[in-house]
Amino acid sequence: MLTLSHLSKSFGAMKAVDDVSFTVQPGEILGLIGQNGAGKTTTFRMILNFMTPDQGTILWKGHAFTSRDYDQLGYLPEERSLYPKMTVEQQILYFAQLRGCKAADVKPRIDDWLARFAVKGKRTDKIKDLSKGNQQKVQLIATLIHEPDLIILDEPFSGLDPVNAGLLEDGIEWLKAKGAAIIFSSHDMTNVAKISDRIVMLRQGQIALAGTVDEIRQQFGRTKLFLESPLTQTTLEALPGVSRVTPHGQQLEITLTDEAVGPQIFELATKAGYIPEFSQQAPSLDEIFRIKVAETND
Amino acid sequence: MTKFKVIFKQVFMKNIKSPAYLTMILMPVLLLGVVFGIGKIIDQSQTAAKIAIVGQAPESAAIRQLKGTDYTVKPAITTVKQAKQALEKEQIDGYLTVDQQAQITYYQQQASHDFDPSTLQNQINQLQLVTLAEAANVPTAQIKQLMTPTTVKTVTVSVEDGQQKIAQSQNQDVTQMISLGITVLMFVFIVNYAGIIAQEIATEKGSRIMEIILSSVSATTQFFAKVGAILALVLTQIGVYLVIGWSVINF
Repeated sequence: MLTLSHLSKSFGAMKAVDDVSFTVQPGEILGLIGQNGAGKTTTFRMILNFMTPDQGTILWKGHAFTSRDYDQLGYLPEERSLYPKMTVEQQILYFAQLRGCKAADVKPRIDDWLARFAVKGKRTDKIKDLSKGNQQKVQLIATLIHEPDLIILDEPFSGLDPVNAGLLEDGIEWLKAKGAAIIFSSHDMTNVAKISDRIVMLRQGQIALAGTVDEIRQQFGRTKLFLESPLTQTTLEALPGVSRVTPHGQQLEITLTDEAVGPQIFELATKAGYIPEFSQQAPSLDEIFRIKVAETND
Repeated sequence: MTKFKVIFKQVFMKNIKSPAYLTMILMPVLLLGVVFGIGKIIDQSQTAAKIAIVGQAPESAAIRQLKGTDYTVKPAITTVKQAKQALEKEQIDGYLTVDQQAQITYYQQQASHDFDPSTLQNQINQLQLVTLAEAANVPTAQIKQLMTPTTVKTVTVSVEDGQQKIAQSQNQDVTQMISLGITVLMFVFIVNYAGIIAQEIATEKGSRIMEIILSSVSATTQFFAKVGAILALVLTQIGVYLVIGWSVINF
């Protein structure tokens, strides 16, 4: 279990991380979201012991993170960090050995992992000859092949097409099932919403949101309504409690100021009988992110 | 395999297999070979000049018996006419005449092998002295004494605490060579290995590889493993040179 308590870090006058606390349990996935410069990478660097926090503690399994814990750690940095002239096999073996694995144990597993992530390339290909997406997958394999207990992924989905992003999600879920504690950061809210058990949003170094996806969304109330019905845009806009109606083809996206209006609209819409879609939801994580970010800019 | 060995092996093998390293090892050997070869060629082109000594002076016969490193005398040729013929046929590079006043004139062709007759001069002077001494009836023993050149002996000493000890002079040349050799070698190594070390650091700091490595091993382990590998490369290079030197000496 990873516990961060009241972590703070300043660079000169700028406070990069301001009183951040959260925990990650084994078998849990924590999504760390925030704008660029919110303090996500700095937090990671403090967990990894690259930087000393000005205040606060970081505890892994009850003790401070030391070099003996390195073997249980898997870390994927934001940018590509591979040796261009090594082959795929050499690269994976090298990083695995640096995490305390024996080459003989790792070698037979390489093919499985290459297949799991559908890497286009042979074991003997040089890293620089692979496409960017495949390089990223090789790096992921190098991060995960030693089956670490704590995994930190800094923007793992960046640059992956939807199919590959799906493969990565599967990989992460597989490791979660094995009991690893996983933290990852992302800008893509769809991925975050899909696989995170809990979310922490950082804004200017401070925690702006924390909790499960459902908890967070419920904080904002069910103020979004997706409707396909005989009701027209003008009719709906005239109703009290409706702030905005946006058409998307046949579907109308209605933003409500008061979620209690929802049942009334349902009555109106179903007067004539069957309707194909009525969905009253909390705002998407994407929208919540924007709302939260906009709060500071007021 | 400990993490130290993992990093050590990776750095070492990567550099040993690289073409840049092999070039670096072979370059001085090749250069030495070229320099040596050129030296040899120059040496060979400096064969001894073939000369003839003609003239009626009483010393001529004796002079014809003279030997030197940069000339050989053809004793068969004794007259100017013979000499001119031989010169035309390029059987000799030039001929020397010694007249009654002991004046030496050296005749050579333009295309002849270069020969400086002044090397002969001292020897001829000595012979003349002997001849004159004999004519003046100086006893042979005394002539011999007159002809013995003085020798100069160099003794290398070291002065410690006001006491002078005789150092081993025969090692002086060798030690000079060794110190020169070491200086050159150090220069070569520093220039070459600075490049290798810089590249090692640049690859890992330029991308984020350093972050992965530092989250896998302690910084001290990584540092010493890299330094150790570079030292091993230096030792390998020295070893290769020793092997090459030994085989050259023995064959």
